[in-house]
Amino acid sequence: MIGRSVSALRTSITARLTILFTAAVILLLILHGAYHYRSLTMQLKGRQAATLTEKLTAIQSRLAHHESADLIAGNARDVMEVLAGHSDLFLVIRDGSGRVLAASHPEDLRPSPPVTASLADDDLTWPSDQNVYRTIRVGAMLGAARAPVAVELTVDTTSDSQILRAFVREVSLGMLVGVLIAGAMAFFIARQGLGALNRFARAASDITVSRLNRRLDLDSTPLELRELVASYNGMLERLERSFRQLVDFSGDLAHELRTPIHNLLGQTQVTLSRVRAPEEYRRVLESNVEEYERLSRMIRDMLFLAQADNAQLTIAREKVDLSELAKKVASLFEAAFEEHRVAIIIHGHGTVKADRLMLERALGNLLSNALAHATPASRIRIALKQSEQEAIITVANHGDHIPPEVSTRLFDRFFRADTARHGEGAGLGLAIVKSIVELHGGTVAVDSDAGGETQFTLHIPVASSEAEIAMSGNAITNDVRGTSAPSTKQPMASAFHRSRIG
Amino acid sequence: MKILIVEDEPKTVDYLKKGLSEAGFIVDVAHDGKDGLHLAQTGGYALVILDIMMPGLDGWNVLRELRRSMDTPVLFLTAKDRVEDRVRGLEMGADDYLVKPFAFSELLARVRTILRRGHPKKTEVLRVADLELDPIKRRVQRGAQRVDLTAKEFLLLHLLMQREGEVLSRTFIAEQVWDMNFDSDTNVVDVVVRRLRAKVDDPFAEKLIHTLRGVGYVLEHRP
Repeated sequence: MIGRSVSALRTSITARLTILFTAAVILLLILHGAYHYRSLTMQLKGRQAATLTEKLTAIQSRLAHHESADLIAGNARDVMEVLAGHSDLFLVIRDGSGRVLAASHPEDLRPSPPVTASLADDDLTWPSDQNVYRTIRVGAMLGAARAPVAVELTVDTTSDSQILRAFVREVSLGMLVGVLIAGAMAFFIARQGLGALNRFARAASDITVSRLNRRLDLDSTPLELRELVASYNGMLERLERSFRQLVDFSGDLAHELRTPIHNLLGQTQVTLSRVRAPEEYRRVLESNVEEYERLSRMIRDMLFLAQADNAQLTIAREKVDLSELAKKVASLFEAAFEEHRVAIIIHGHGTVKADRLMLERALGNLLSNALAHATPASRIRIALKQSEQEAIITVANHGDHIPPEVSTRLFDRFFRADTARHGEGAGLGLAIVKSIVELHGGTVAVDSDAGGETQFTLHIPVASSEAEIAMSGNAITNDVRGTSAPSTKQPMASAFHRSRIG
Repeated sequence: MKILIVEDEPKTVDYLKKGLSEAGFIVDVAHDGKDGLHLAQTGGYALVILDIMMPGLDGWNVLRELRRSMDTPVLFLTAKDRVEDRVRGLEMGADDYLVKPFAFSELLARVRTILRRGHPKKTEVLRVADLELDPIKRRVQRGAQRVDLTAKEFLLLHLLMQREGEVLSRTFIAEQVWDMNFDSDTNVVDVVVRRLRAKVDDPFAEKLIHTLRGVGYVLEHRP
């Protein structure tokens, strides 16, 4: 219980501010009270001293007209008159030996200060049973003989003490009320001041998956919180983008899978609805196989993309001569190019440390794409360039101009520029190109000019870092190829290649 | 030739057994690793097709145990498309592997490749009906007529004739002829087969290259 409230104090800004503020007010009130107490004390003392001094002076001057016998006889009435109206004053006059010559009150009715030897000036404050007295003793001369006597004037300071006590009481009470008010105010102010934080928290908790597009209002945010809110909004922005991509992707995925599966289902059900000739069954099965193959390829591609996203793919970097690679990949398309009456030109050189099989796949996808969109009897160009930092592979073809709003989406998954062009793959080819290049730390770009030339450019760092190359699976892979895949087992080594990227 | 399938997934076992039996092999099946290991050690098989993911004794353990005493060829099947798995399998002495899902024609081609090892006949002159291919002279003749082929067309025909009567998938053909290993949206293989046909089959009455829709291509004499 206590532990919890202590930790609440430690963690709640409101509680902490309230306590600190209240403590500050208490300190102020105490200082204030102490100051006034002190000045009141001084004032009271000063007034007392003034009264006493005045009385003493009067007594001294009157005593000059009396002899000691007068005093003893009680004939010094004018001396005692000085005290008239002051019930709190007591006067004793003693001779040189300390014997009482005269007194304003009988001995049992007056306070008797502690006896001191001296007859000289003396100012003594001393407590009696309940009261506090102040005694001032001065010397005086009696009569013509100028006999020295001591005049002892005692004042009962109890009333002053009472005033001071009352003052302390009042001030304490005031302080208590003040502290309560200050505490309440502090709490209120802290709450008010932290209101922006609470609003921030409320607004933040308002943001759900379906309301990711909400942003916190920067204008109504206090200066101190702006940076926080701005970075929070930035985070939301990024989250929303990724989330939207994910949602789009799963939506597209469902759509892409639905169509072929419905076709398969429908066709198979219709076929099974009555007995048919074996030839007909065969045709249906053949058509099914084609759909299955498409689905299977799509799933493989998606798996590849997912693994690339999760950085689960090991890049087996090796030295790759880009112009050899381009020739090899182009050879696969040679016949297809000829059939479309499209010529291919490869120029330039370059070498990168990269995963050969992935690069083959990327270039293959680009050529496949170029071929699909090339104007008949045009040229497809592969340009290779090399600088110290990066190798640049450009694949260009002539075709329809691609508007910018389309070209920015070309590398998106399932995106098809031409929605009518179905059955030519799932629209994952360019997304895979992008994934492969990004796995190598590079970037992709597409550019379409008004003349109808579309250029896909891959920028691949020559080597992202030595350490990464050293750590990559290169050594292991080569080892396997070299030792357990001797020339007689060639197909196996190839199989190793195939499935790695397939 | 006897082949052992060690696989716990019933549907996979069904079609593998059916397909391999129809391809002329004698097929035995084990449904778990323990039975599989026992059969593999005692049954005298020419090849073991081994699934990696099995409850109990998994494929890795079966392979390890088997390799202690025998070097029966092993083709392993894995659902995990991960480099480490493949490297591990091959290092442990497997002869080849396939990643699920795979096309049956793919499996068949690999099975035959493994079983054919040790009988290389790369330099033999190949004959199917009146078609003749001489790998050394790089000459192709149909009947008395010389046929001119491009390098890739020649490689493709050589492959089809070597594998006479076997259905070869497009992926397998791309891998063997171009040493390329990806599925392309463009059916590059179809194009080359079409052009090969135009030279080898079209001018003649008897067609030797046949398409099995949805599966691949086969070259055979069908009287």
